[in-house]
Amino acid sequence: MNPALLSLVPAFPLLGAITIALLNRKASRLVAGGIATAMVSLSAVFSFWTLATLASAEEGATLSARLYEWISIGNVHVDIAFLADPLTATMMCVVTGVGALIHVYSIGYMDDPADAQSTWRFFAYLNLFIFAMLLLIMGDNFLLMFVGWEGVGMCSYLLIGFWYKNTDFAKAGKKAFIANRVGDFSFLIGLFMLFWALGDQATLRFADLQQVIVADPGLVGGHGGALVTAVCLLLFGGATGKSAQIPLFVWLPDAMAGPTPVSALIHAATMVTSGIYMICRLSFLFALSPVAMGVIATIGALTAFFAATIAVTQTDIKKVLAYSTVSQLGYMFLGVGVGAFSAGFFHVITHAFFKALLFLGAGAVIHALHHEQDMRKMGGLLKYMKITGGMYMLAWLAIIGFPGFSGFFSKDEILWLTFSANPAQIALFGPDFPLPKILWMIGAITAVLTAFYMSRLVFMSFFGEYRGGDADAHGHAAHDDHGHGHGHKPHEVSPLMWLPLVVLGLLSLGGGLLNLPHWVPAGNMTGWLHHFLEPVFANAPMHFDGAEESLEIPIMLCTLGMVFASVAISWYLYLRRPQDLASAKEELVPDFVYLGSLNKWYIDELYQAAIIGPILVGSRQVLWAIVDAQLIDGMVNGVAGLLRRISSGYSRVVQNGHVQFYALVLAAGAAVMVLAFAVGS
Amino acid sequence: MEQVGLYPVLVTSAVIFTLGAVGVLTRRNALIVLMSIELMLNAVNLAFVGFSRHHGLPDGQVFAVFVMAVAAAEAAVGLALVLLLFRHKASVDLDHFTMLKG
Repeated sequence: MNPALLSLVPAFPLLGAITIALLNRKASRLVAGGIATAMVSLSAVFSFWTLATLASAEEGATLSARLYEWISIGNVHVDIAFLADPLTATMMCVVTGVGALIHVYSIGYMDDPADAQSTWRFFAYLNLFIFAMLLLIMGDNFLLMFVGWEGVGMCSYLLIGFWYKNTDFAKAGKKAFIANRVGDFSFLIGLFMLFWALGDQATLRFADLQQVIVADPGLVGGHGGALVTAVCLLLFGGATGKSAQIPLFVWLPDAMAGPTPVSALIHAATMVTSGIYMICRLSFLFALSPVAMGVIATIGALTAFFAATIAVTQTDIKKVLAYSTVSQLGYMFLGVGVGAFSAGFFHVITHAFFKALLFLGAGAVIHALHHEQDMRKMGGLLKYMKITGGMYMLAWLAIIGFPGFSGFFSKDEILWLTFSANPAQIALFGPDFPLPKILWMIGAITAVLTAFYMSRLVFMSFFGEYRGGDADAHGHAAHDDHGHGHGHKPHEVSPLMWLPLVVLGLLSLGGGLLNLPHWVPAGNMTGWLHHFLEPVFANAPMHFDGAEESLEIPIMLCTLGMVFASVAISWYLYLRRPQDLASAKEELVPDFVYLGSLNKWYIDELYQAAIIGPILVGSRQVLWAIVDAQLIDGMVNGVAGLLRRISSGYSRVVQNGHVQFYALVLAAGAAVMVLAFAVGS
Repeated sequence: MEQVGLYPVLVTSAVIFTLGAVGVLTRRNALIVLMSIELMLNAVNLAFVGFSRHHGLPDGQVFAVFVMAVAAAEAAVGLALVLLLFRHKASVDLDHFTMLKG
């Protein structure tokens, strides 16, 4: 493949976004959706070509395309240039591949006549998002990555607030944007510090950066230095915003206000994984700071657990999936935090498959039930929606880690490598503290919780008896408003919607083939992704205690046993004997735990009281009432008032309206100037 | 024929210019003011031509032609304005037109 073709990959979606925006209302749903899908598919073709080229090239090969020099100041040169190494190529395929499927699905999903005038906007944003995401992952320097980083945030904001006439949805968009800005601020400060630390050798290109830092780690304070730790923690701060980790995860559940394909594409499969991508890209830097790695792993594990506890009690199907996404992102950070970069990234890929499927399936259900998102009004949907339901089973088995499914391999690898991580490499509390074992326990408990809440979701919506529809007269009325002339029962969705589900279902089932563990006798196929990505992480050497020993299988069996028990409990409570649910809850779960989980542990309220409230009060009482209204307005009004007094008092005398007086002044002025010249020379 | 030097030309030009300027500043009749402006412009033309001849360069004469063209346009606009002013107040006395006072 000619490396210059690389720049076509982001060019197609940009072209699509511009074309659709220019056509605007003239582009119907099918035209806009068709253009958008075609553009992303073309990108996908070139992405897979890139991947194939790199996979068959010798180890360590990369492709790069330089368009032009963007900024040149002193020694610093920033190009608009793209770089494809194995990490980039894999991510490109995930983004454009899953993206193309979701585009197809969206053509079917966005068929509400109320949106007919604005579907072009939806597809233009979607294409713009793919463009920004590709800039983020393909940029060969920090600055271009940051442009993409901000671009995806903006598209996310636009799409969450797509139905902006609903004030709550518009607010959710703002919340996402502001939470992300907090993270971006930290990211920028980290970037500035890194740039400043490198001094004469400062560069923004990833390849040069890696060379400079690997050649002389002393520039950033050496291994374990305070400077590199600060830089890594600040960059990770950016990742907590974009990838929804503690403390900035609060925006992601609210982001479900956007149309469901957006939740699938941006808030599950692609954008939210960019934090993990960034850490993988800078693995050579992060590996220098055991403290930062420890923080990443700990925050990841805690987020995974914390979000899972909330997901257990939510009743909105999309909210469960949103907290599940936060939780799974936590797993990925746990993976990269303990130094298992390829395992963490593998989970990015498998998660993109099954979580996109879970969201799209939920979207199909919501579409079939006419915007019903409450799982308590679902049930028995497998009978009515055989394809969607069947695919949902695959995604469910993948996320709970059923043996053989994609999620099983990726989650298992993360847990195993966490267990066997070298404590010195994640020395958050000193090298002797058994942090890896504790993190593994949190991870394993989270796996059990995941199995419980996902089984609860599946049993409540797809099994048992249908609890919505007939009895619900209101739902029926809403039904007619939409002008669909269906019967009372839910129905299967159109092929445009279920075809992507089938593809994603197969990927969720077979995604594990990308990176089979060593105990599977698969010859060359074993650990393909791991070997493919090896050159990228070559400068971040991480060691795992006893990773070669066969502890993996006992650990796996132990987790698996707990997962199955958890599914069984869920089955008993939600399907076998739902009438016992209330009493079981009464007896087994303390009230504060249940209410805490149901109310998301009051984190939003806490932030409101501790941060947002004081800022609002300060802004209103001090910045607005005193600084703005009195100080700034006072200065402006004072200057204006002074001028008015001068003009009405003195300058009126000379503005008497007599042209000849004006001419006299002019002539006198000219005479004075001529005299001045004459005397001066 | 005897050549006229630069100084007589400039002195003549300065005298005419001053006459024009005094006319502009002192006369009340708008028509006379316009005529005085013409005097000033032509005084400048005279200086242009004088310098042009003195230096042996054609630039000054070119400028003089431009000034004439502009002066013609200015006279046309000026007379039209005076006409309108007259229609407005039946007078061309500039002291009657002080509507622009602050």
